Amino acid sequence: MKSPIKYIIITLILVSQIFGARHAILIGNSSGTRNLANLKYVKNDINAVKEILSSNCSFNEQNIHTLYNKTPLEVKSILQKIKPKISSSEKDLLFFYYSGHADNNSLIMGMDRYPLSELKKIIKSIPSNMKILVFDACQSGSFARLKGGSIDSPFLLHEDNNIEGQVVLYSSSASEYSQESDYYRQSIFSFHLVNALKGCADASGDMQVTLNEAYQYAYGQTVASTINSAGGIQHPGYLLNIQGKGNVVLADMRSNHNGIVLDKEIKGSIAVLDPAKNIISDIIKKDSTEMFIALNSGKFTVYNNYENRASKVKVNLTGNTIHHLKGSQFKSIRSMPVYSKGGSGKKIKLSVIPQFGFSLIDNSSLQNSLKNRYSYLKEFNISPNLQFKEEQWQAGIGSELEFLNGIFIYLNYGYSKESNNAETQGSTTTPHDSTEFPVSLKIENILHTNEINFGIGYSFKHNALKFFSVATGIDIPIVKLNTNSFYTESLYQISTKSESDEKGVLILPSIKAIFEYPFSSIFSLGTSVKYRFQLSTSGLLSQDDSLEYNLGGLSAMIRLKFTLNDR
Amino acid sequence: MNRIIFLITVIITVLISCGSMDALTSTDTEDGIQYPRVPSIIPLRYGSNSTLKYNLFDDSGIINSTNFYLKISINNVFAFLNDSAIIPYHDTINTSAINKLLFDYSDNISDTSFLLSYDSIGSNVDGVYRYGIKSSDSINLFNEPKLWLKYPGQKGDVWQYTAIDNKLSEFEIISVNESVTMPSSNNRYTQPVEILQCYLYKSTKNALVEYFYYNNNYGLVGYLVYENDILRVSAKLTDYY
Repeated sequence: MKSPIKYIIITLILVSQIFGARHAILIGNSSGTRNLANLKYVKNDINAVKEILSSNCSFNEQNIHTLYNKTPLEVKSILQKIKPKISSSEKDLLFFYYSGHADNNSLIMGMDRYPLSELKKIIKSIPSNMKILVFDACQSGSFARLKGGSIDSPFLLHEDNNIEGQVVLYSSSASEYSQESDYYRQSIFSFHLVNALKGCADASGDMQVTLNEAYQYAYGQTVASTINSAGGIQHPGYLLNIQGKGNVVLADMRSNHNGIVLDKEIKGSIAVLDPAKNIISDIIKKDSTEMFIALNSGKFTVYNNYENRASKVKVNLTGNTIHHLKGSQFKSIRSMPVYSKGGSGKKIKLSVIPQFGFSLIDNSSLQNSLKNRYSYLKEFNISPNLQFKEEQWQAGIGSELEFLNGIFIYLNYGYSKESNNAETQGSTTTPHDSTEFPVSLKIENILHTNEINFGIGYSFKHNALKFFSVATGIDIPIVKLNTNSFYTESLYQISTKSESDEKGVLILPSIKAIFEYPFSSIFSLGTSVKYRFQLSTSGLLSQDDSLEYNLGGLSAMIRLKFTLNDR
Repeated sequence: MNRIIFLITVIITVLISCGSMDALTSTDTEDGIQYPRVPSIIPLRYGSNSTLKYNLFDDSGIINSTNFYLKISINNVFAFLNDSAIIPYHDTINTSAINKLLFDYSDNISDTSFLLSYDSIGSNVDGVYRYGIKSSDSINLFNEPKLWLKYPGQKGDVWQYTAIDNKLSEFEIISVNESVTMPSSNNRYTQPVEILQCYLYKSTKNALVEYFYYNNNYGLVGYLVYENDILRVSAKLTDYY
């Protein structure tokens, strides 16, 4: 098998350090188009790459050029500008990074396109013998915050990209999406590439990260991070032709005196969080070797989860500090924090949920109450039969605030309207000759139910149950019964109309199960099944008597879920 | 000790005040004058008003399209002083001299009205008595009060009533617990129809037979008139306050 990994290993025999003048051009564009959503974390990507290049990768800050949301003309201009500064020396290196939307033929920069053919032409004309091009973009795309356009063969795999001395890393394979992560607040591939250069990819333990190590690390972590993502699994790729160039060392931590060293005994998932609960590093440490993670000065919390045992340790890096962390320094905690993979626990998703469905109501107590209400008219043979339907159709709108650990709170409003009517004929008798004269009573009932539901729920994140949520809460229906009565007596030629409004409030605990299928990051279609408990008899208050009313039972709703934001 | 006595005195004073207020609420007031109420089969109280819808039937018992509303009210109360003088109640200075109260039971159709009192006359026959007739400019008392509606009474009780034209009517209590409907007129009311328990009186005068449904809270609730066994009039209470 002609494995690319093997190819790298075979070709990169020498471990030589080639640090000459290093120039970087970091381009980011968050603008979307009519069919592509704006990207959220492009700026974070650029800042993170810039920081790691200057701190760990021997790039002089003056030689790092960042262009955020700029035009193709400005990109072209900066490329032309640095061209004379780079020599053909084997030690000189050009690092070109792009985060944004792209399609088969161009980088999509808002309303403008930068043709790849032109980009290739300019890069080819730069005399550097080592060019590393990183594209965190893809050719595929859709309506979500995925970074691409129509599905086609990746532009980076075109044969004419196979240029000697040029390495191309790209974030996803053909027909895959490159994705941003709200957990990392970065593009997933860029996050792991930066982590690799912090030292996480130093598999050999020599305090250096080679191009090979960085790629392998970023590849593995990106695949692992996207296995369960809505955008699908994402496989980074590469294209290189650097025969005879030696093993390119991208990051050298030997000169970096700020960071933590994880002792070789520490294994499992490691998360490093800053005081704002932003995730700085998120790695899986398998090997029994020491691992260095370069960090800036500041306070950090390092979490470790190994064989379902969670622990943490706090470190304070004041500059030129390397903390050597041993397993014994970690203190056990109940579980990894919810933000351990993705930042602050304050991050939430706010959703609006129009829904429509029905409840199965046991109306027997209400029917009996209505029957009793008019029973006093029996001696006039008046007995209206007023039946409400057992299924009550309801429309509503709701909102959900979902936290990253799957817990959400919800607040819903619903309305339903039911009506019935009955006309009954009776009689009254004269005392003189017992002649019967007709009496009639017509009743129209309209039952309005306005209800508020609120509660708390949990969305399962596991594979088998990832579309399911459960919730419990309180339902507060405010029930109003509007009654119109029409009474006539033929003997006395009386015809009257009366109207009444009765109101009642019920409080019902409820449990519900929700299934929803996400069609995109902003739209899901689902259904919910709820059961609510009528703990006590509740009545509708009126002037002269009360109606017993029961709203406990089963209900089902079809729900459309629109996520307004996911941060 | 003095403090306890003081507290008890205050409590007793408050209780007595409350009792006085209760007594006050059982009267009707107008311009600061308190009019006593007299419970009876006709609620005798100042300011009472009731409206009945009257329907007329032709001599074959077919309802006539003509109907009208009779409004009955008590807008005057007189004091009968020492069985000799009648003065408006609001002019009465010495209430201890009042023998009885006469309520001016008038309607919007007749020129005259009856002065009624709930009384017990003769061999303790309790009921509503007619004491006289009032017109716009005069009051004529009968020589003897005339028993109009016996109350309380029993089914089968009979008595006679002599009208102004000296024609005799036979009165009888047909029922003391007759159910009659009273529609709730345009009120925001849950029950569209109210059932009232009534005394049913029957009055027979030659070929004319009248039936009166009286309730002790509302007075006249229903009214039927037969002439030669043919229904000629029906009336029902539609409004009361």
